[in-house]
Amino acid sequence: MEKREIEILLIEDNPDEAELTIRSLKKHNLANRLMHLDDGADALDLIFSTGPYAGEPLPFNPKLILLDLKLPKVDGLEILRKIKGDLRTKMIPVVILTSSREEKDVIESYELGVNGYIVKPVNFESFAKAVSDLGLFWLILNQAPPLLSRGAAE
Amino acid sequence: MKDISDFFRKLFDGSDWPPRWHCGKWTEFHGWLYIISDLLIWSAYFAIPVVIMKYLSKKHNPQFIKLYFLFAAFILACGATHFLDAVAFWLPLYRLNALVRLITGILSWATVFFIVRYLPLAASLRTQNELESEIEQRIQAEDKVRILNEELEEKVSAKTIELAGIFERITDGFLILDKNFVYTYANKKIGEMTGLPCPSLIGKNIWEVFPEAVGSPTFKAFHRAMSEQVYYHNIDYFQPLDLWYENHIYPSGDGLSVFVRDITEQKKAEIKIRESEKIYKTIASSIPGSVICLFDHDYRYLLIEGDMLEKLGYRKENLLDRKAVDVLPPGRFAEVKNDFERVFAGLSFTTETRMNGYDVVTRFVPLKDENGMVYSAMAVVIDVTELKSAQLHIQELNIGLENKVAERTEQLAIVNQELEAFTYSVSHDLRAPLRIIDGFADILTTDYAEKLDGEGKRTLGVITSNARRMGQLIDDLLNLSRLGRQEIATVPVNMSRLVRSVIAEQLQSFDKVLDIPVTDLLPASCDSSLIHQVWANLISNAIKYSARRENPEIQVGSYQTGTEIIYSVKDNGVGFDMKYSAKLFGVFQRLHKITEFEGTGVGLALVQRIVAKHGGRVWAASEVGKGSTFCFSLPIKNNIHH
Repeated sequence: MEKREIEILLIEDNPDEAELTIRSLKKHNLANRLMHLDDGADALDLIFSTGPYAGEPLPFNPKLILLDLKLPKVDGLEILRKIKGDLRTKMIPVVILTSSREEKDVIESYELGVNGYIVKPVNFESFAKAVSDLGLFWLILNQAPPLLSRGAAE
Repeated sequence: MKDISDFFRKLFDGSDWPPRWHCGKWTEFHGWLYIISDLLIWSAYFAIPVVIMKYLSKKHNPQFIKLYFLFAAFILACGATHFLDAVAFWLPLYRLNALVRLITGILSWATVFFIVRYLPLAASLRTQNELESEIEQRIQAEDKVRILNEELEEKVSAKTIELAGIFERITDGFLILDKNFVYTYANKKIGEMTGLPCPSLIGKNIWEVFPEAVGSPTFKAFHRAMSEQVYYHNIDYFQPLDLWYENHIYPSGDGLSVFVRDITEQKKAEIKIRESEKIYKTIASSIPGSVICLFDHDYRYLLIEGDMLEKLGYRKENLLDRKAVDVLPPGRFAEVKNDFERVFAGLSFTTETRMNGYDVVTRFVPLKDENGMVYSAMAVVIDVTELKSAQLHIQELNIGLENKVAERTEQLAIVNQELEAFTYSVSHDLRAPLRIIDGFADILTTDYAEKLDGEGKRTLGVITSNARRMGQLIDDLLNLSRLGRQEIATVPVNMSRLVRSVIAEQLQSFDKVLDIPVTDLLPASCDSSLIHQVWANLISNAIKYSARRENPEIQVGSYQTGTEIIYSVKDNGVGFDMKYSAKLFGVFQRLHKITEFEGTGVGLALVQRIVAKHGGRVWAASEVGKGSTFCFSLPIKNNIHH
């Protein structure tokens, strides 16, 4: 899948978690243009067209980045900081999807400018509903920022 | 000689001569004329001495008595010669006659002699007129004297009244004694002092009025002043009247004038001071490591006592009755001068200094009379060297302790961080696998249902429910651990409103109709969200355990004691056995089986932690089958504080 086609970028190190998330999105046909990365450093390379992705177009304009907090190499909050700290990427909607309801994580995320913070319910039913709801919201209901629309039009 | 002896022998013999009638030619007439004349002279001359004697017996004049007697004798003698002349007409006693004439002659000359002698005196004797005029003058003079006397008396009595007024007005006693120690005057003050009115004293002997004073110093002083006629002064105590007095004794001619001052109060105050000095001395000498000093307004040492004195480098005899400025080293005096000024200004305070190698604390206290005037100052010096070193030691220990505490705190902080990391891990890492189990079990149930038989589906159900229960446990545990690190933020909370909202939340998922009345609950200052949690747990428990009743009843209430506000939740549910009540608030402690009532055993532990964090208490009372009452208290001091 080409970078420009990506609608949802899922950054999650646990493949089982990722599978459950993707399954839930698929049920509502929301995972067709989803890319899953299981490594924070990879994710940054992709987003900022560095490393293996050097030469790829920038800006990167997915409709949503779903970000886990606990990631190998570069953790979720660091990725969030980089995205929201860069003029080229700060408008990308980022939603934290995590098991942690630690207050400090929530606060820091919002301070960094996160667009949403979802604590994964233990109950799969609720989890599935939460994931599909959020997919529906960001991909279909939400009006993306102009930059993103332009990017999508290219 | 024979003639003289014949003369006296024949003194009364008239035979040698004829009677006068027969001597010469006496006519009858002539003879009787002679006789009668002589007899007249004789009788008159004998009457005169009688008159003189009578006169003398009435008038006493020793100056001329001899002359009167002499004259009387001379007249008598003259009379006798005339009598003998008359007798001689019949009885010629010429010898006797001659003797009588001799006696008369002698007496006459003696009289002449005395008259001549007394002549100047007799010449000076005044005549009647002179006497009368003199008497007149005298009477006039006496009148003048009398008038003058009256005037003088008036003046004297006026002066006396004035003096008496003065003596009555003076605040000292004043008395006058005559030479026999008899009162002639005593002023009002004397009456007040003795309790005897002055009129009752006048005319009485002082030692009879006050026999107890005989032999006293006053007695001696009065007697000396009287006998030596000099001024004396003395101070004495008269026991029967409990009177201390001071005498100024002035000799006054034939008596004494005495000023008496009542000095009882003064003396008693002195005695008191002396007694209190004694007390101070006793105190000072019985407190080891101290000195007590008393000072007057000149900073003079009135008293100094205590075993510390010499240790501090002073000697009592060098200080006593001397001014601090004269006996203290200049540097030391400069140090304490300000303290003296402050204590005499009426302030009590304590200073700390180091003297002669000792740490001393000095307490300055003003001594005030009943009018609040500072009459003396007391300084109590106490050796606190040991105390000080103990204090230092304690300080060192404290520092050590603080270091230890800091060390421990650091260790604890590290442990806490580890714990935080751990709970974070639990939060993130344990939850994820659970969800995955649950997720994949769900996939099985939904996507592969037709391939599973009944037992397979039941087994899957067990997996799912346990996964969820474990998830709930983890959530509860995290809540509990988060509470430990959370600071409570107290704000005034409208408890009625809070409880109503809790009830509304809890009843949302309850299918029966249940009305939980909320009376007006006392407001409190507390952490709103935490206390919300407390009520949520208690009310959800109450609902849970009474849900199976036909008519579940839940009541909430509040009341106030002196120090706490107490809130309660009462239900008519299944209740519990009070012998397990100790387990109620422990983590994971449950009194009911999981199949009877769902729960993780963390809810009440959370309640207990939250309330304890507020400084309150939790407790419960229950009876199996009848219901339970859970209470928690919030201290009122929190509320005052905010």
